[in-house]
This record gives sequence, C-alpha cells and structure tokens, in this order.
Amino acid sequence: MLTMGALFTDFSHAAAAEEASAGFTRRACAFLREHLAPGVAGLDDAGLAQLVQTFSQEAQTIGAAGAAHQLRYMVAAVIWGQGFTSDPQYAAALARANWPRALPARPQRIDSALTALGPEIDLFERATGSDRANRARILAALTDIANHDWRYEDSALLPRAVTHVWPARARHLGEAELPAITHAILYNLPGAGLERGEIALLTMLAFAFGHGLCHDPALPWVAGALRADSGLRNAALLDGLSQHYADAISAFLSFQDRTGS
Amino acid sequence: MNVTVPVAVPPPAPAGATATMNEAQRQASSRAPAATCATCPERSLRFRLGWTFAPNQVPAGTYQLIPGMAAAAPIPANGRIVLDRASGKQVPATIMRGQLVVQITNGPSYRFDVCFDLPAIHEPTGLKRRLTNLGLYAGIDEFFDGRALWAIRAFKRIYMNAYTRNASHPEDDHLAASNAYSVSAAAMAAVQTAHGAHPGDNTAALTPPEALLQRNRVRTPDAGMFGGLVLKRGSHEVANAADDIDPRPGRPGAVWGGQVNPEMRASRPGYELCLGPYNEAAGEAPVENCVNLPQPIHMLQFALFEAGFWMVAGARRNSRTITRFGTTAVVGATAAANGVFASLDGGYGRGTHWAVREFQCASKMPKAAVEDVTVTQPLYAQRLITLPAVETSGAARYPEGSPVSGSVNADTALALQTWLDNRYRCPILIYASPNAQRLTPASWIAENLWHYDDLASSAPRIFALDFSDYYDIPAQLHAPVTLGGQQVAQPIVVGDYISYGADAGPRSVPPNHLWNIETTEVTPQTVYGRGGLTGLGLSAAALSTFKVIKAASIFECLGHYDSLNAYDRVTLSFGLCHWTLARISGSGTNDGEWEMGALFAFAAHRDRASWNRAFGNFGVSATKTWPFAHTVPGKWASTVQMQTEGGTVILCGVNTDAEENKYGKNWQFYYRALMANRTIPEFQLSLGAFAARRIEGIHSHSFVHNGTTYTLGDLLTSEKAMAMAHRAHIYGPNSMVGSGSGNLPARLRTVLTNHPTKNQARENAVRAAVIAATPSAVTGHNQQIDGWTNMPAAGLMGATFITALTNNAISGTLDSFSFESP
Repeated sequence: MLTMGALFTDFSHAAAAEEASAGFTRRACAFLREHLAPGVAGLDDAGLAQLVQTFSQEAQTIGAAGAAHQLRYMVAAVIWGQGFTSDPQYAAALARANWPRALPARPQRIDSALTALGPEIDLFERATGSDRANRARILAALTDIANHDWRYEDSALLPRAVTHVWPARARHLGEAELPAITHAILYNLPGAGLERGEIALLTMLAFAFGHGLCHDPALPWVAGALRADSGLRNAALLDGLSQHYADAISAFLSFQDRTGS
Repeated sequence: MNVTVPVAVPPPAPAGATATMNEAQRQASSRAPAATCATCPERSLRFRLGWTFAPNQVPAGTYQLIPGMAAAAPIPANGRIVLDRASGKQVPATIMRGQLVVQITNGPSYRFDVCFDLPAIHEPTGLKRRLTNLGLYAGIDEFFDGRALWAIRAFKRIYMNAYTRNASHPEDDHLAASNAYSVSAAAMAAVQTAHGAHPGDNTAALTPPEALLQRNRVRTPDAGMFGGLVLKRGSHEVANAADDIDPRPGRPGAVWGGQVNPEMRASRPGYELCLGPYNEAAGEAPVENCVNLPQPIHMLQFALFEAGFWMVAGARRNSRTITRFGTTAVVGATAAANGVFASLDGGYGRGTHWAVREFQCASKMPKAAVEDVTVTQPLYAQRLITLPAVETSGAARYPEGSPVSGSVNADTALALQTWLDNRYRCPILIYASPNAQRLTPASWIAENLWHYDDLASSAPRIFALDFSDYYDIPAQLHAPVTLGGQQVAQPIVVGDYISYGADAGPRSVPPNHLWNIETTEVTPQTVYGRGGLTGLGLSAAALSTFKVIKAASIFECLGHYDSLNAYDRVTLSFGLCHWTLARISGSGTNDGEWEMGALFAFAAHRDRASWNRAFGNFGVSATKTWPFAHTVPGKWASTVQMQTEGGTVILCGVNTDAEENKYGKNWQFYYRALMANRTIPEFQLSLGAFAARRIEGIHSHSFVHNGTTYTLGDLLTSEKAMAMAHRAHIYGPNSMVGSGSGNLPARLRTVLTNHPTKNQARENAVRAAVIAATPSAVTGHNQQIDGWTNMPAAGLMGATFITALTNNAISGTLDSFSFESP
C-alpha cells in the first residue's frame, strides 16, 4: 500500500503512477464493457486493455490530462474510430464542437470541446443510423464492391460506391463534399501492397469505422485480414466484418437484457 | 420459402454518445485523479485558509505545498495564498496530486492530501468538492448521498443560517415529496462566495440527476470528521491530565487524543482536498479556492447536537427547544421558547463527554429515530415523528463489545458519521407537557430534555417517545396514538421534576407516573418469579419473607418498581430498598461506597444477561466483584465505575468531583433505570434476591448477652418484627446492628433481661425495641407496620396495589416469620 509520504521519491513516484495507471485501465475497461459493449464486443480482455492504453495515450497527447477527459475521449474514439480527430468525414462536426487545432490544448479547452462533441456525434449517428438497418444489405453491398474489377480510372466511381453502401452517410456528408472526403480517406489509407479492390473495400469500411481502421485497436480483425495473402484479403475482411457485426448484435442484445431498454 | 429477417447493426454506444460521455465524466470525476499527468503544464494555484467553524478568521502559521515548495512559507495576514509564476512557486508539471501541510504557530499541524481537480460549481463533483474543502466532508464523487446532503445542510446551518436551523434558508431543499431535490441558487451562490469563484461557475439552482440523488446510499468509509485520534476528556480519567481541545482563533493550541499539538492527518481517501489550478501560461482565468482547517471537537459537538444529543449543549433552563447551537451566543438560560444556547466551544468538557457516552448507549440499541429534515416545523420532535424508526446495523450500530467510554474511538467516529449520513437520531426523546397536551407537541413545555434540571419546573409531566425497541413495553402501553398528526407509539410516562431542599431532579411517584400494572408492582411473581398476585405456590417461608420485603418497599419504592427518585442528595435511588447511587455534593478523595454499587455487583453476579440488559450494556458497573464482605451486617456497598477506553474510572472521575455523579440524575440515565425496573423481570428478581440478603444479614447478626450468643433472628421471630427491622435497617443500618446503647442489640439485651423466656410477651417487647431503635425519620413507618393486620391495599402518595395474597395477614405472633430467599 502506498502512502502519500512515500510518493515523492523517484521510485515511489513511478510506482504510484504505475498503480494509478493500472487502476484507471481497470475502471476504463469496465466502463467500456458496460456502456460501449457493441463497439468492443470482439475484443478479449487483453485487447480491451490495449485499446484503453492506446486511446489514453492519444488523449494525453491532445492535452486530455484527467481521467474524465480521457474516458470521454475513448467514447468518441470507439464510436468514430481511432484518429477521428483528423478524419475528413468528421471535420465539420469537430469544427462545430470547437475542437482545438493547436494540440496539446489546455484542459479547460479540452473539457469544453468534449462536452460539445457528444451532441455532434449523436447528431451524426442519428442522421446516418439508417445505413445500419440491414446487416445483410451491408454485406451484400460490400461484396459487390469487393467483387468489382477495379481499374485505375475507376477512382471516380468510389463516391458512387459510398452512396451505394452508405446512402444515409453520403446524403449527410453532402453530394458536393463526398468526393473530396472519399479521396482524402482513400489517400490516407496504407495502400502499399494492396490490390485496387482491396483498397476500395477498405475505403468503404473506413466510412463506417474511421480512417484509422487499419491500426484501430477496436478492430483487430482489419489488421489481421490485411496480413493475409493477396487475393484472400477481401474475403478475410468480409468474414471479419460479418463476425464483428455478429458480436456487436449479441452484445447489444445482452445490453438490452441488462438495462431493460 | 426461407425469409431472411433484416438484422440491424447496433450502434457502438447504445445509449448515445452524449449520455455515455456524461456517464464517463461522472464515473471518472468520482475519483481522485491519478498521481501524474504526462502533459499537464505547470499550473498556478490560489487558496484562502480559514477554520471550519471560523471560516473568516485566518490561522497564524506556515504552509507548504508538496511538491511545489521547497520550504514552508508564512501564511499571509489575509490568509490568501497565491502560488503563481510571479511567486516562483507553482504546481509542478505532470503533478496531479500532492500534499498541503499547515503548521499553526504554537498549535498543531495539518497534513492534507490534495488533488488538483476542481470542476465548476454546477458539476455535482464541483459542489461536493467545495464543501469538502470547506471542512464539511461531503466527499469528492458525484453522488448526492446522505453524506453530501448532510454537508449541504451543515453548510447552510453555518454559513447561511448562523447556526439557527432554517433561520432564513430551508436546510433541505426537498420541501415536499412531490418536489425534486435541488440546491437553491442562494445556496450555490453562498458556496461560491465561501469557496471563491471558478471562471466556469454557474450558480443557478442545481437539480442533480435522479440517478445521483441517493439519500440512502450506503457509505461506510470513515471521512475522518473527528480527526482520527481518540478524542477524550482526559481530566476525567487521569489526574492532572488535560482535556482535548481544538485550536481556534485566539487560542491556537490543540490537545487531541491527549497529545499536545500533534500532526493531524486531515484527509481520508475519497475526502481529499480538491483544488482548482489554472494555466497562467495559457491565459486561463484564476480559480479561487478555500481550505478550512478541521476543528474535530467542534465538529463532534456539532454532530452530537444534530443527532439529538443535546446534552452537549450544556444545561439549559425552561425552554421548549434549542434552535441555535453555535460558536458565538449566550450560554445559559432564557425562559423564552426558541432559545439560544451555545457551548460549541471545541473543548472536550463534561457536556461533550456525557453526550458521547449517551450516543454510545443509544447506538447500541436496536433502532434509531429518523429525522425528516424536510419538515420545517419548529420543534425537533415534529421532525422526528414523520418517518418510521429504523433498525441500526453495520457501521451505524456501535458494537456490543465496544466501551461506553465517552471517548471518540474509531467505532464511535464511524457510527456517528453514519448516523449523520442517514439522519438517525437519538431514539429516545424526553419531553415535558401538561398531561392533557402530551399528544400535542405545539403545547409542550420543553422537548428533548437531557440534564436533570433542563426544565426546573414541577408543573408539567415528563414523557418519553421511545423508538428504540430496546425495552419490551406492554402492548397496551405502547399502542399507536395520533401525536402531532402522526401515528406513533404512545408516549411513555416518566415522572416529573421536583425540588427537595437544596437538591432537585426527576422522580416517578404514584399514581400518575407509574404504570400500575402487575409486572411493575412488588408482587410474589416479580420478587420470586412465581406466585402471581396471590402467592399461591410459594412456600410458607417464601410468603413470609415476601411480606417482609414488601412491607419495606411500601415506604421505599412505594410498592412499585417504577417509583424512582433522583431529586435528593444521593443522585438516584430505586428498587425495593431504594438503593442509592452516589453523593452529589461535597469533595474529597473518597467518593464513598453506596449500596447501588453493591446491587450492581450482585445483579451482575446473579444474572449477567439481565444485568447487561439493564445497565451493563450502558457502560456502568460496580467497582467490586460479588461476593465481598458487608460494610455492616446486612449492608453491602461499592463505588460505581464508568468505562474508559483502557479500563474504568469511578463515576465521579479521578478528581472526585461530585458534579460528575449527577450523570446518574440526567433524564436519559434516569429513563434507562426506570425502564430496567419496569420491563426486565429477571432484573426484578435480582432486586428481590438482593433485598433478601439484607434480611438474611439482619437475621443472622449476632450479639452476646450474659455470655450467650444470640442472633437477631433468635429474637425477631414475627413477621412484623422482621419487617420493621428491615425497614429501619434500610434507612440506618447501625440502628439495627450497631453496638451503641440505643441500637437494637443493646435494647434486646434489656428485653432478654426482662423476658428470659421466649414467649409472645417477649416478642411484643422485641417489636417495641425495634421501634425504639428505629431512626426517628422512619419511626412512623414502623409504627404503621406494627399496626397492620393485613398487608395494605394502598400505600403512600396514593399508591394502590393489585396484589391480593390468599394469606394476606402480616403477623406479630411469635415464630410467625420464616426466611426463604428468592
């Protein structure tokens, strides 16, 4: 048991920090399991702890010092995906929330931005939620994308593909803005070694899971699929997505049972 | 045909982002922050130092923030401390937690744990943390639990109502069941004023989310309200020891737990100081903070008064209620209702000592009363009768084996905090009222009496509302009645107050103060445990002995166990022989031994369980252990002692101050003695058996006449003779067993000379000798006994008896007496 009197030696300072960090990770994991169950359903305990540590470090780099700030940041990151603060599709919402551009920002600024961000996320999700109404439709549409014989000049077709897979989201982002957003996402993806069809499918998935999906600790199946041999990756991505949805649905049903909602 | 039912993909956060982020805020803000933050810059800090119960007074001494300050610095005269870039002292980068050490000049030091995390005032955590910083132990999480609600009420009492409950601001904002609880804008503004402003503050009325409002949420962690050292009244236990005392403006020294000016560990986990820093480099506006230094004895006194133990307020006279108990007010008497009383002085004196003892007694009982703090009616009793009493358990129940020491040990501190959190109150309320108005609180004369002379008037009758469930009260005497518009168990009649020469105090006399039921009358059943009202089933010897016991009891306890006396020079007396407790005047190194002490020793020896139930549970006992030698034949005596943390001390304390003995005259002690006599049959049997010891002692006392040894029993062979000897011996034992020329043995020698032969004539002469030897004050009693043919159906002061012995005669005939102890 640490005592405050011992806290301020170098050794005990480090020990205290370690103890506090472990405690925060435990509490954050419990929180995410309870309140964001569909979003983290596919993660085992180690994976979830890794997610907490990753997002916590990201939060600290923007100036989110306190536990409350970090936990609220994690909520946004699980919903919108890793790197949401630079995701082109969320730029307008972030701007409305007065998300700070100069980072790290001071805690009072972070606090007010996080407070404003919650309603923006809800607004976005309400506007685009109908895209999720039919899992089979999503999987079928993405299979179409995966099976398309993509050519170099087909880049112009990608925004139309987005409209095909995510019609509500495309409407919400706007016909005029969608091409730029699509191409910004496309060019931010790690394209090295991937086939055009695989890049197209990843782009579609990035609209649902955020442009940081390839490294997102909430989506280990994406990185796993990309490690598969060429030609098998799209199938692996679709299998991973299907399982992800199944896990999410199961977790959601448990959540409903638990909360009576 | 297979039909595929569309299955929607759920959102990651089913409750939505805003709700989930709010929940994250609540959960994370509930806890103190981690020790470090990788990105936190150096921040500036401002705070003002004051005292919890003198918030505008500045303590003199030094302060040091660790880390941040290499050495202590003097507290500025205005108490306002600024650690900023200009001062060269700031909260170091990456530090989220630290310590604040305040050393009072010529006084104690305080060591606080500090978190640098203070949300704006309109955040639940923001409000609670401010109250905690102000010394009111609200906690640092977000729940409006009993602890936080108490802290809000305490804040209003101290800061807004000048210690007068509800004076200008209702102390609970939940004024009707249909209203949602909210903290008024006035209270929010007052907290902001007291603590200092945060640039993000919104002082509009705060209505906590329903999920956070949990009056009954169980909190067991000790907030450290009373400091952590075993607070005590040292001078009662150790010669020349100092009593504990708080520092306060103008009197900086402290004694806590008997230690002079110790260091107080002023924070407990969950109750740390939470101060708001600001980033000067980033242009953030300053955040103001306040740190009040704890005054644990003040807090103890404040808490005891809140929980109904008004003994702490010191003696008062003739007031209906106490509405003000503060640090600056008139101490003492006022005849007006709604009086002002004050001894919230931070000194662990007699009032505090006794009040803590009373709390320890009450918190051992099964139930506590619950105060409805939303009731704004003026009388304390009116707030006590609207909610049902509750069983105390867990931390609220003072453990069976813990001492009733009058010292604030860890169990006491936790129990008292838990009582505050749950609005538990002393389960026994004693009040004075004309009999006809006993169910109408607005017409009562005085309420919540503690000191024996809180109401120095013999006009009203004294009653008790007993919510404790400690005593088995006959149903017909505890049936629900409408009192003040509420259904409560009917009040228990206690007695009245009477002056008697230079002394005064409570008494219970027939017919109106007694229960007048067969279980409280001196009957064969209550003395022997058999024989009912008629004596059927008793042996002849037992019946004869019963008559002797009853005869004396008619003059002592008026034939009823529930006739007690606490108005004369012996503090308290009760029982068949009205055994006496202690002196109440005079001084000296020897407090003297009294018969009630011996009764306590005997009762504890004879039946430990009933003894504990009657008195042992409440921390008093005999100094001696039964059996021990008589003082004079037929009389045993011992001092009475009180428990301490480490052992015992005699009732009047090491300084043998007879004022201390008056503890036994106070209304609650008196009530417990009254109810023990009324409701514990096994204890009544112990009284019967102890009375028989006196008779046995008289009976076997020997003397020599002309070379032959006689016992008094050889000559006192009739029931009347023994009854008279018993009665005289109670008043003056030596009159019956002493060796003086006027005492009974000497007179019996004359009888033997004149009546060498045992016959009725000698027995008649013996009875005359007993009367002649009887102290003059009670000669009349013995003349009455000698004149009886039968046991009387009525006694003194209008006492009547329902005892109906089948053989009711009391005989003066030779050899009519035979002895059998209960």
